[in-house]
Amino acid sequence: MRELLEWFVQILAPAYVVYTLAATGSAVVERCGVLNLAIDGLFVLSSSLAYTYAVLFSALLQGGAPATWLSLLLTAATVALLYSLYTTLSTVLPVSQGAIGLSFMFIGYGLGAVVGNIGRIAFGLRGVRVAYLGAGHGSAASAYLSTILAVTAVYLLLYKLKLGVMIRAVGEDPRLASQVGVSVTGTRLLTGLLGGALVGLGGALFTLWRVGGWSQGQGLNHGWLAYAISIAGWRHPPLVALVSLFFSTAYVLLPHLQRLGLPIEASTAAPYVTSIAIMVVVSSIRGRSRLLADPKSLGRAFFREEQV
Amino acid sequence: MVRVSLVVTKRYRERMITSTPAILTVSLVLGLVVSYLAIWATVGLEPASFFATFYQTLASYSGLLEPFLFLTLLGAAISVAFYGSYWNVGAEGQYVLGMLGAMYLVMFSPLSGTLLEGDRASAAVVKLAAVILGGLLGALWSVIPGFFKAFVRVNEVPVLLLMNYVAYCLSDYLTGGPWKGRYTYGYIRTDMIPEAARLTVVPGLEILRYEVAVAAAAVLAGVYLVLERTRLGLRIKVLGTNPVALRSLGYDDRTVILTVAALSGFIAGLAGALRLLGYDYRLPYNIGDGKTGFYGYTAILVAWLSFRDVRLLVPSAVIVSALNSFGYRMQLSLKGLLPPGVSAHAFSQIFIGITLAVYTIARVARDHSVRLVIER
Amino acid sequence: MFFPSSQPVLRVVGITKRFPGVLALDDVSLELYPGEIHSLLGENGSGKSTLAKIMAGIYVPDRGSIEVSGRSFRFLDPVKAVSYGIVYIPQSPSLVERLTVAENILIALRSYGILSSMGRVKEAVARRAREMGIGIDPEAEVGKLSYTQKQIVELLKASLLDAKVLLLDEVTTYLPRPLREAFYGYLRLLRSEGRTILLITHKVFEAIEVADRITVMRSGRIVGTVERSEFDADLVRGLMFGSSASLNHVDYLPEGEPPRGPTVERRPVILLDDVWAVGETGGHALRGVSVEVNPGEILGVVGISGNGQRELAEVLVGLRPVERGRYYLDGIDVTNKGAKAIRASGVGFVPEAPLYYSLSGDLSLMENLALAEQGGGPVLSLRPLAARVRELIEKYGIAAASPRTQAKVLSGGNVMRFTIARELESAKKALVALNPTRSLDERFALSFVKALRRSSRLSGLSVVYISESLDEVLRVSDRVAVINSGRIVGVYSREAAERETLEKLMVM
Repeated sequence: MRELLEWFVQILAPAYVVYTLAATGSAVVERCGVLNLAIDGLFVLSSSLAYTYAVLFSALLQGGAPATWLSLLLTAATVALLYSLYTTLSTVLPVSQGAIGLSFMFIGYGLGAVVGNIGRIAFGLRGVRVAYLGAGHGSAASAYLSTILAVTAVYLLLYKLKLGVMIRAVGEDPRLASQVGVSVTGTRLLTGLLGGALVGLGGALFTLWRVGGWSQGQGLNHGWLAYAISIAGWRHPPLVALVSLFFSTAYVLLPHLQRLGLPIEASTAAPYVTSIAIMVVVSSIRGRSRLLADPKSLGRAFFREEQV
Repeated sequence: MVRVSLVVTKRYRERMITSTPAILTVSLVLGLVVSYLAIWATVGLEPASFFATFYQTLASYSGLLEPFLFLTLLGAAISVAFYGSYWNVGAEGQYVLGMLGAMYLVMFSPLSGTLLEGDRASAAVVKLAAVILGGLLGALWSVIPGFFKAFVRVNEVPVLLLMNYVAYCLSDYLTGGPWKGRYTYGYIRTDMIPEAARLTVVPGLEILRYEVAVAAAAVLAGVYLVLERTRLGLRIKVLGTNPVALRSLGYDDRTVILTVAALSGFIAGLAGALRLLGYDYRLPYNIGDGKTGFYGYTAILVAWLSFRDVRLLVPSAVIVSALNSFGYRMQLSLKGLLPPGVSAHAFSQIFIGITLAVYTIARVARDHSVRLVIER
Repeated sequence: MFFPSSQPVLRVVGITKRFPGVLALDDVSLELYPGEIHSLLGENGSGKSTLAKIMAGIYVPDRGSIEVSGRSFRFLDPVKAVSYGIVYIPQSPSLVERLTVAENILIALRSYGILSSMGRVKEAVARRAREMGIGIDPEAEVGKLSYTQKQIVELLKASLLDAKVLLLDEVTTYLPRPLREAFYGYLRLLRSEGRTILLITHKVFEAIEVADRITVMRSGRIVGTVERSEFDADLVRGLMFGSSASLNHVDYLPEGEPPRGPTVERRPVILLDDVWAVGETGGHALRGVSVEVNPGEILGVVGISGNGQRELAEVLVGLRPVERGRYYLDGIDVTNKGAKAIRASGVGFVPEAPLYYSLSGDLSLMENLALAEQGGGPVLSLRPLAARVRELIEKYGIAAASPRTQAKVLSGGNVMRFTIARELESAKKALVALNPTRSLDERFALSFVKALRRSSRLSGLSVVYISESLDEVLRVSDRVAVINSGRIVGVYSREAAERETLEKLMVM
């Protein structure tokens, strides 16, 4: 029992926090109708940015603790801006969201490697870890708590405030929303900021808590794992947080399957296969209530003046 | 108060490709500039040496032949899929599956025994079978996400990308396990395929293999004919442009999705099989570490730059393969400069991303009139 | 006399707007003053809706300017329009189906900041609903409301908006009489608060009943403005129809009964027997529809949008599964046989928006024709195809450069002509038309309707003509069926069809 508790605290906490934040961010972005194909690239970029910010500030401030916190905030802010660029760009121009999303994915991968390497070449390879988020029980408990609080806040925003209603209206029918005076671009810009900040936080914590260091390619595919969780939670924050508990556990445990005699390649592939499987299973459930249904305009180009 | 607004209205015109070269140039130049900046930011490389490498690449055009052929094949595979709005970003995985299929057939299948008999005719049959099996496995790898898209409405992009990694894992499992070679000087990899199973080197042009050239030409012609001259091609194009019309005219869009996924995956798998039989001869461990040359990803650019026009595949593959070789040369010349653990692949990714984004946005400008209206 | 008490609150000057192939507005100028109910009167397609949409910032005019609160704009966007107090309410409710009543109202209310809570607006909505004597649950999902309830939500929304100018686009057309009275009362209340109402309508009596001024539009131009003291139904009607009045009269079409073979046993071409089908939102969109259409007969189906018309059309062409009941074509059971089988047995489809429903805009006319052909080998034979397209271009007067022209390059009217040509040529037994004239100008709409009548008379084609326009249905049909909430609530022969009765059935 005690061991299980220990495991929850030490091993699961970082994974859970990372995936839940990123998946909630992705859920918010897709709720406004923008297909989130950028997520994996921008997740990789977040995890690299966090490293470089952290080593930069710890050199500047000559101390670890404030530097990592600063890095966390700045990463969230940078990625929020990039995400809002992504959501805005795919709204103001009637471009294929898929193509813009893939471009951002590739740019995110490449830029992530560049940014991380800059930090690494300038300051050397070193461990970075959010000072407060050590191994203690208290810190893990408060990390769980803050994640739950963040998810609750997003939930309230999405379902209890006007901004959230605007986000969902734009995700359902942007033309109609714009006819009643909702600014589609403005709403998607704000949604990009919010969702991007969450993905950025997730990616940053991946480096600053789960890994505690950096190497090129770090975070690759973990964005997709978060994406799968957001789909599995039907893009509904509390549900995302709930299913994330299950899938974070799976993602953490599956790579250990090789201890049971499975080939290492199978345990590496297991999280990917699991992600695909949950997306398929969950998407095949029909007749969902209005709060859980897929946003109607998801992935469709928005073109204001249209005569049919 | 000054208000600036962007007004986008659709432009209705006959199909035109006149401004495509301009758009292509702008996006490629911007892609190059940004990736140079990224290199410069990382290692402070002089522009002179960057452009010297660029020039050297273009000067040695024969070296472009091999990437050109494979990027043409994979570009054609992805292009077919794009016609049907099946965003096949999984060509990389299908390419690996093609290699696995060919490897199995020439080394581990019951047919592999005939290769040792030295009979040229039966060797040709085995090679053909290997290529077809590679294609079929590629098709299978592509049909799985296609099935989910058609029947469960799961977006194919994440599934295809994740399946690329699953393909790497599968290949590594086989290479490090059941297919592990005996004569590998301690490396983890498979043995070389027998001489008889290898493709024919063209005398005087050692980089070329007859079969690959023939396959590339056949695939290009085939894709063009299917899309422009058959009812199947018509259905694929309608699937890509207006799936509602496809359904309302009595066609089952799900079958068309599956067909397009299979066709695309088959060509990608075929390319993988040809690669193994013609150039690689064996499977390395950690194949996802760049040992495929990431052709499956680079070819997305080939398909994208030729969007909805098969005839543009060739020039676009020429350009991309030149840039790819350039990237490879840069990688070599950067090797001394980059610290260990740093891969130059990042710069290609930036290049692909920027070019894709600029090209996409520029095409909007071509098909729409974008007016910037400033009001006081 | 109407004396403008102050500056106009909204003025448009010299507005011109062209859609592919149609000049929708031709140099239109109009002034609206505070505290007036101004009626914009005109036939369908006269351009009144387009004008309102330009005022609301939904369309961008090609020429002209919009002056509001003393400032001049080349064009507005919806956000800017709302911020200047211009609110547009369309005929079909502009409500997001998956949001609740309160949520739909909240996103339209600019007095609420983006961080205001749902709780506040729910109270406000409930309060205003009580004041108006409307019983509606602010938390109800809009997609589950009836058409009338949705219109009531629109009224509620309009009344809650802090609007200076309300552009009401045919919103009262299908409201039941008692509610319409209550609504007029509310318009007067809004006017007394100093707001301006632009009431867009094609009903002369409505304009005369509530408006202070009436502006009449015809073919994209303003043909006159009449003040309350000068109101006269005949004068207004004369302005509205001009010289084309006779053309629009119901009996301009060739008369004649469907051909009836004396000895042949009558067997309906299309027979729906108690058909039930599920709609987009999960509920039953068709609830026991039974209709029959005889050879050479045109059955008009009329109803307010969203009462099962689209689903009926989709069932008839095989796009929507039938849950219960049977569908016979020429006596053969084709229930749930799918679109391919139904098309193959000679049923054509002319949908409201062909570029959405049945053509691919990016493909050539040849390819679009080939797509609709049944059978044929796997290989396309281009030359015969091109010849057939040329034939159609000539026969139906389609303005297209060549068979290789992309469909999207054509004007809206020509896209429709092409679709009609393709479907009339391939439909051997029956044709299903769903709001086919929506994107057409009046003139071509008439010629299409004539072509349909001709085909049904000459070749015995059976037609199901589904439309929201009662005038049009009365004009084209041999028999008229009224659809309401997924049921056929009445079928009348053309002679026996009373406008009043049909309208009542539509809103029942």
